[in-house]
Amino acid sequence: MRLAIKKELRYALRTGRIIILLASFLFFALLTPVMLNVVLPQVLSSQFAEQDTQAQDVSDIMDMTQIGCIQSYMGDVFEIGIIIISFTLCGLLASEIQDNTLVLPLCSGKRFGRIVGAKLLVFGILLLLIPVVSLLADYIYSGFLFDYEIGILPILCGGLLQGIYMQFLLACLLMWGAFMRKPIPAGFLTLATAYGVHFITSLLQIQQWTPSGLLVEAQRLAPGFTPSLLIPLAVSVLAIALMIFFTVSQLKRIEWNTRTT
Amino acid sequence: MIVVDCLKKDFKGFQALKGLDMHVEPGEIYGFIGQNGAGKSTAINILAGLSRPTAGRCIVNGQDIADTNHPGDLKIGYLPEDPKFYSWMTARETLEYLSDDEGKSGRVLEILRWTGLADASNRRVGGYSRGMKQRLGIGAALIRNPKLFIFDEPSSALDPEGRSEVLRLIEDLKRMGKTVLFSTHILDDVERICDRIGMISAGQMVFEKKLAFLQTENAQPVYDVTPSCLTPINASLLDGLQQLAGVVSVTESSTSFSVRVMKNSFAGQLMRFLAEHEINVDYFALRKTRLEDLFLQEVNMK
Repeated sequence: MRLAIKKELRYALRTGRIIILLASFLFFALLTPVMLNVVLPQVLSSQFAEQDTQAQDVSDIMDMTQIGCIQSYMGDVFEIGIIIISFTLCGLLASEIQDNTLVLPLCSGKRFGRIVGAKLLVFGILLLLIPVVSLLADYIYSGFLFDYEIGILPILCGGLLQGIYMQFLLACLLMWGAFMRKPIPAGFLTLATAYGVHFITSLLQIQQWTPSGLLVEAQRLAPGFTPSLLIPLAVSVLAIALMIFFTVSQLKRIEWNTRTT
Repeated sequence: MIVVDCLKKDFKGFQALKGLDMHVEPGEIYGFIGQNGAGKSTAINILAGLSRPTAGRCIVNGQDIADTNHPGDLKIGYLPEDPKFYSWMTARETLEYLSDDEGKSGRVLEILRWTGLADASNRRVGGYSRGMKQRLGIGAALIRNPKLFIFDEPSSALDPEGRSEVLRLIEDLKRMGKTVLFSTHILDDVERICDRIGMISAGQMVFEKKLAFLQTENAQPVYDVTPSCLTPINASLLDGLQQLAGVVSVTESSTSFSVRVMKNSFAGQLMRFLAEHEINVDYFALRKTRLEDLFLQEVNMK
């Protein structure tokens, strides 16, 4: 298992997956405060100039606070972050099946459970840490541009909840990768699952019970975990476990190295 | 080591294997030959545990394929036709990963030396030539020290030097007491190293014989004769040869002629005939039967 984990770490580092994910999240984390504090007021001022509206009035219209800024960034994570993750990691398993790189490891005795487990462990930790680090960066920079309005605990909790949601996304990527055997369709299906769950459960008003509920809870920036988190956490863990089970089952059914693959 | 009994494999309306039978004995190099699309790779994928048969029985390394859930359970060394490695890993890292050994036992280094990749072991595999990848693949197959190796076209896409190197490695495996089954359509390779041959055509085994036996059994021997320049070839001489009992045909070229006969041990009779007709001979040899001729003969018969 240790060597399988090392292999996934090498893959993450040498193919630049870590850099792409970290840079993308940090980019949005640092861009949002700048956009809200500098760029947007200027744009709006120039548009309201004709109506003799002062910049101060523009600031009054907008919710330019640190909390507003952080919540805006967290919204970006759902809208854009998910796309970035889906297409950066869509080949995590699908490419291995499509390119037949799993054939030699399988013949040398590597088990499906361990292969998937190593991927989950390495990229799971990565996707748990990146939202926390990015949210911290957003917190520090927005506090510098605006004023510090909240403590660091709600930020850590919010980042962690986003990170847990990313585990759901990762399990989705692995499952669709195993079923589709091609990276891009796996990425699109993951996106469809993530957005589908979010919007359908929102319409049915059951979002707070689903993995999407974690993101909603994260945006509240509560200074700790509340009992209301138990259901979405339990549902997320169950969904992840089911998807991993389907992934491994599907891998066992695949005929490897055939020309029809 | 391998027993295949009436193996069948269907792919969405196409039957790739139509009742294949095969037997591979311990310690031999078995050449699995056939035209492109004959079913070699399909059969090998099943034998390696990577694909499931539609029907039939397969015993590999003493284990029934139907009872195994994972290719690794067969404990064989397998090399695909086009081995795929992680291009961002070095050869050493690849072998360490495949062996679950972080290089402490020295086995990885030993294999890198054996395959001639020790100097390039810290280079990423993505930068390797096709021949180097093939050698790394053979090394990867040996990493768990299995008794049986199954190689799918190990030398087909290589230059002559790369081919020789791969064939040397396969011969080395035989010297180590291993059993090797390899598929190919390069018949020269089979003639160079194989003990036994199985020929597949349209998903069925055409024959399975020892190479030496095959070369003598089916072949009609051909004697090549080049007379000295002092004794020109004339039509009456060739007609006389044609009349000899046991001669199938006589073909003439500008400076020599070839005599195809029914069976071996015709040399004495042929030499007597040449002496009686006072023919001085510069060159007289029994032409070695080429596997390619037999292969084409079988394919044409089919």
